[in-house]
Amino acid sequence: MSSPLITGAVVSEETAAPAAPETRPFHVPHPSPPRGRKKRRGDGLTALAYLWPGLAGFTFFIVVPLLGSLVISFFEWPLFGSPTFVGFANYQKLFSDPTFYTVLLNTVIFAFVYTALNLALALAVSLWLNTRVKGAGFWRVIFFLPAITPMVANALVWRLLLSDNGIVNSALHSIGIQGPSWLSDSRFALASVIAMSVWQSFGYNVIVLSAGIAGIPKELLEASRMDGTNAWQRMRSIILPMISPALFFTMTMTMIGAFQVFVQPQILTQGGPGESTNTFVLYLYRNGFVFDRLGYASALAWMLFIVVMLITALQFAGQKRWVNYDK
Amino acid sequence: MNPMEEAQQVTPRTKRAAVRAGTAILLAGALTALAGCAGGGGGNAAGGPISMYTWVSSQSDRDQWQGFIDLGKKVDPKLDVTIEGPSFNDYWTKVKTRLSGSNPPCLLTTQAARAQELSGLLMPLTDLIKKYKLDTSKFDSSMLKGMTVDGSIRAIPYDAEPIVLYYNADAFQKAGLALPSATYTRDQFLSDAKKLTTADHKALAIEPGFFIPNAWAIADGAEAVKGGKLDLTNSKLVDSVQSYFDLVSKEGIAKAPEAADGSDVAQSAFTSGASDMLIEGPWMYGTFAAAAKFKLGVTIVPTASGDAKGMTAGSGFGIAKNCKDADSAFKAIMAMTDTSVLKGQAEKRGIVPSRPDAQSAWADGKSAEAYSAVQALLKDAKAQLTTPTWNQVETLFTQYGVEGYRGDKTAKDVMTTIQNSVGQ
Repeated sequence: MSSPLITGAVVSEETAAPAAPETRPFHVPHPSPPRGRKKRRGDGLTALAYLWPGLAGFTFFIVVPLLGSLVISFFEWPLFGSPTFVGFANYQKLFSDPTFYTVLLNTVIFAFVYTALNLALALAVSLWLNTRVKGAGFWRVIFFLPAITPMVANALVWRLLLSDNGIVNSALHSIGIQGPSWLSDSRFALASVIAMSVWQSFGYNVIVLSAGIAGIPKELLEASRMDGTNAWQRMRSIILPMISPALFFTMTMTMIGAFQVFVQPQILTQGGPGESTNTFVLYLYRNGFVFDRLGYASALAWMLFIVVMLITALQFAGQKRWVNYDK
Repeated sequence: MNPMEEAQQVTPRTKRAAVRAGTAILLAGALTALAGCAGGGGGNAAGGPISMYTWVSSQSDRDQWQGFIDLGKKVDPKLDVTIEGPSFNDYWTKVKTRLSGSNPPCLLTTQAARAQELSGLLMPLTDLIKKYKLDTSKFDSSMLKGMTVDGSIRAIPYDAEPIVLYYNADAFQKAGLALPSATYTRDQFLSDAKKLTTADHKALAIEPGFFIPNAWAIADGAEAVKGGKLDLTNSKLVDSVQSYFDLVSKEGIAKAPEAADGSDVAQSAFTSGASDMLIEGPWMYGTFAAAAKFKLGVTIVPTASGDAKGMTAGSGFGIAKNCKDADSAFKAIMAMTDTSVLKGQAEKRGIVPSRPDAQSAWADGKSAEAYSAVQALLKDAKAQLTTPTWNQVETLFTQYGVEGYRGDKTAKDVMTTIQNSVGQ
């Protein structure tokens, strides 16, 4: 292929696209995948050889514990001593346990509010970073830092910020405002846990969404500008549809992570005041490893598994309506 | 395509596949070998020293246990005990899994408050006490009661520590208040606390959890456990807990603790002078005396009459149910709880010995009024009786207590909620 600089001709990107390799004559078809029993078996063995370490890990560390917890959920199983088979008693107990409904509701509220705020903030910051802002890379690192900092450390810092005599209330006091008990007042405690969680994790979604926005062809946005669209129209009709796969990915992963929230209430509020910040996994953990009720904790774990599966399935079913995979 | 051509095409592909498969197997094997190398092995030889599983949160903890062993060797030169264990917070979970594993330890430690929870792990010591003629009447009776589950002693206590009220003697004197002695009435306590409290300064520091409110309630004569069952809603206990909540919400002499606060928050407030009083165990005396830049005072937990009524807390040595050499383990316990050992530990580590005849050793290096307060409390002391579900009570009180201190809920609401939740 000759360079336009050498020939002096103006060549568009399309015409400059590399031709097919010269080693294969144009009439020779692409090699088709090998057919026949013998060849497939050979590839299968190769694939299996590569896969088995991962498969073994998945089997022994995911499938076996999963089935193990299902078995344990049918027993009254202390950490030390003999387990007693109780059938579905743990599941029956679960549905008559008022705390179960409370922690489920708290977790659902946390998951939806946290996911919505996380995505809204991550999208706003991603859009800002994809303008011609100076030091976009620097800001991206700054926003990503909390995501790679240990959650416990983040939560401890936020506890110092939000405690009754913490930095936030001291700052409010200096301007004549009596701040509330962010962590001890049930009206503010869950909101505080959500705020800390969003701050901690939205940086990850910024990276994913920024990559999605950067992948939108500039010609498309330029053409829409020439057609006289405003920023909102471009956002609604071009950017959001084009990054919908990235949005779907971040939404699904953020929601799944949200249902597993544990460290934030454990460090910030211990699930209190009352049960106002007690979440599903915190309740599950305490039942298993503090109250010594592994059977009940396993039943809770299976309920969480079902809830998360259902919500993820709903998300996948709903994606057909709004996720656009066309290039 | 003739067979020869087909053979020529297939053979290199098959070779490539074989090479790929071989490479994959080699890689996988190498990874597996590396993973195998990463795992550790362990185990003890059969026989030999007796292994003691206990909490070892710090070098100070390790030194304490080593102190029992070293002093115990003077009583029984054959004593050979090794120490292993996790941090205090992890101990209560890990001790259960440790006993389920291979080569379990023989000796365990437990707090009296946790004896019920660990009753499934601890061997009843009644027969061994008889066999080796250990005179249990020489131990603090409240601690032995705390270590008793279903009528049998599960651990021999090494300390008997009545909960006390620490105060800042300098702050009291500066405010013109008389220093409390081994008697202290609730009215006097409230009067003193109100005089010490200002807009930016609270007289009392409060820790979250039920441990201290329970000591306050026991000083009132109330009990949380009756007949081995949880009884959190009896009116005497509810009134007493309400009076403790009122110290914050009504009297305003203390700041409400936050649920996630550790006890260190209130302790720091006291030693730094941000508060003037704190209810805690006598095991903190050395730490407070070293940290405080004021004269440390110790008195009883105030009661209506002013007479001392103590709640003892403490720990002891027990034997794991699956221990194969219970006799050797019991002999080790006898050596480590000998009067001479407890005296030595009182002098060196500041424990209040579980044997009354060793308690005078605790007075060394401490004020006379501190010793008289401890003595007064031990004369009429009750153990912190618990149930196997006590962990739930503690956890839920930490969560719900915050609302009680803030005045958002009454003690009756809080205690009823906890009683119902634990009873689930």
